[in-house]
Amino acid sequence: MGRILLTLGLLIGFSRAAGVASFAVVVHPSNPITSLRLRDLQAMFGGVTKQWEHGPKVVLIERQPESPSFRFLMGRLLNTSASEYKRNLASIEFKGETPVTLKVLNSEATACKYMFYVPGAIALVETGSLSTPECSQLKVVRIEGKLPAEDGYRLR
Amino acid sequence: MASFWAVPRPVVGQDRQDEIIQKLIARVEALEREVAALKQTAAAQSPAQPAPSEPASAVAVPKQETAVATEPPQPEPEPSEASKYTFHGYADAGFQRNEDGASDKKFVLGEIDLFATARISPKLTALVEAVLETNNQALVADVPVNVERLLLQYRANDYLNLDIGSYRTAIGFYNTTLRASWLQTSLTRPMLFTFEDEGGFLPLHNVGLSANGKVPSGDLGLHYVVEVGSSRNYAQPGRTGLDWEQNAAVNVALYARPRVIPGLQMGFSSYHDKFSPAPGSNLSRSVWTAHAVYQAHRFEFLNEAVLARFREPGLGYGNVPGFYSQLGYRVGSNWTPYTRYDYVNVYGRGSVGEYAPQYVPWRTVFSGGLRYDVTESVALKFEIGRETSRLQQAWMRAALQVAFTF
Repeated sequence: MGRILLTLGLLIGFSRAAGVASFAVVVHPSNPITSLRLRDLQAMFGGVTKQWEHGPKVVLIERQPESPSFRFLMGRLLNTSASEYKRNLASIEFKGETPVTLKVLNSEATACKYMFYVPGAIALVETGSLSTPECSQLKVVRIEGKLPAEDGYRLR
Repeated sequence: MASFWAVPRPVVGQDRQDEIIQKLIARVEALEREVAALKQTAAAQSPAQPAPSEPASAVAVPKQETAVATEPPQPEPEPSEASKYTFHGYADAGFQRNEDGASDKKFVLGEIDLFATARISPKLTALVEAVLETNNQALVADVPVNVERLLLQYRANDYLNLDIGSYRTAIGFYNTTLRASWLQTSLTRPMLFTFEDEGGFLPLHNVGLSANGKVPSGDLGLHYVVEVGSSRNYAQPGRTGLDWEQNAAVNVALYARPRVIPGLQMGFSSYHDKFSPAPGSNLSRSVWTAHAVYQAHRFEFLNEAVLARFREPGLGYGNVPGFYSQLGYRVGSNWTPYTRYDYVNVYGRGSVGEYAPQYVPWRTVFSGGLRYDVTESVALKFEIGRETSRLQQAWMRAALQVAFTF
């Protein structure tokens, strides 16, 4: 029994160390926000919150559907599917409310570069991309008070 | 660089090749240092570089790579062009079996819902929604074009938006949120929210003025809607619910979207106007609704209750209480089975009370179905239902539909 538990523990530990993707929330450097609650993040990407507290409109920067960050956004953060997500955003617009501003870009580097010109932008990127020149000067936002490298970080 | 490698190289020994590669790498590094120095000089000479004002797509991202690598540029105005105009179309087609209990079976073309907005200025938006009602194959040469909505919207701030024009009344949840078939999970609308021109008894469209927005309420997420207008006139031969008078309609709605439970919405509305189902009559019509809706984490749970009251001094009154409850759950990423129960009762006194059951003949509808999202824009639906009515025996109906957006 003890041997089985040890093997299981080793397997879990190995899989966490080797294969667990982690994602960071980045915003424009001028954005005063430093930390977000998970439900605030869900409200933004879900189209419920369309304006930052300090004024600018929220501009969602997303990747194409086959990218890891988009799959994480759908499957883990919002617990929805791509078609359901599209329908939800269309419903907001159809109701006559202010539509969600959404930009789909084809790489993390392009997304990060684009964000420099959009003060209200927010994006979900793989933490591995944070060291790239394009993403390194964006501001990484704490989620529930934690940064991607810290224990208990929720976006992984 | 590609053309360089494409040039045929002389055959040399391995040591010689390595030496050449080392020299090339050293040369490339020296060139990179020179380029970096030149870029820093250029950046110092022109610190305020103009940025493109309106990046519209991925390919329009400005090519300021040097600025990106050294120092982030100053914030530029947010893109304004990206969402200036929007256009979406919603359509459906399908096959129906025994829709009205008359043992018919037929292919049907649904309706084509054309929806467009245009931002006239930062605070002014025009919204148009026109529906081509193509579902009557017997009268294909006479396809009604219904202007569902035509609105000029003024968005002062989150707390005050003014809409003028033709709008869908904020009676309940379904009427303001779900119209086109692709947007709805189910194949059919709840019977309570049948449109006026199809025999519905609720005033779902008005022309007038609407004020709406948030109410400062913190995490409770309160919103209000106040509408003043005229109810629509659906003058068609044989239409029993003809509204001659179009008297002033007032509707007040309040709903909450609590931040602590994303996906939950609860609210109520109170609507009043004058209603003339027949020449000479002038009924006072009141409609109260309440709803509790949850749409998140794969669930769709819609619940709405309605109480409509028609009365006229000396002619009696008619009351129509009803509700529907719909539950759906997404399985996997594409399959959503759902079920719905619709109920209505009619009672009253006097001539109004006698007439009311003819105006609202149905009693219950129990339906269930399955939605399958073939792609992000195309959905296939199947639904089966059992209806009871005051005018005929209960019957079963079934339908298959493909709904899409473009």
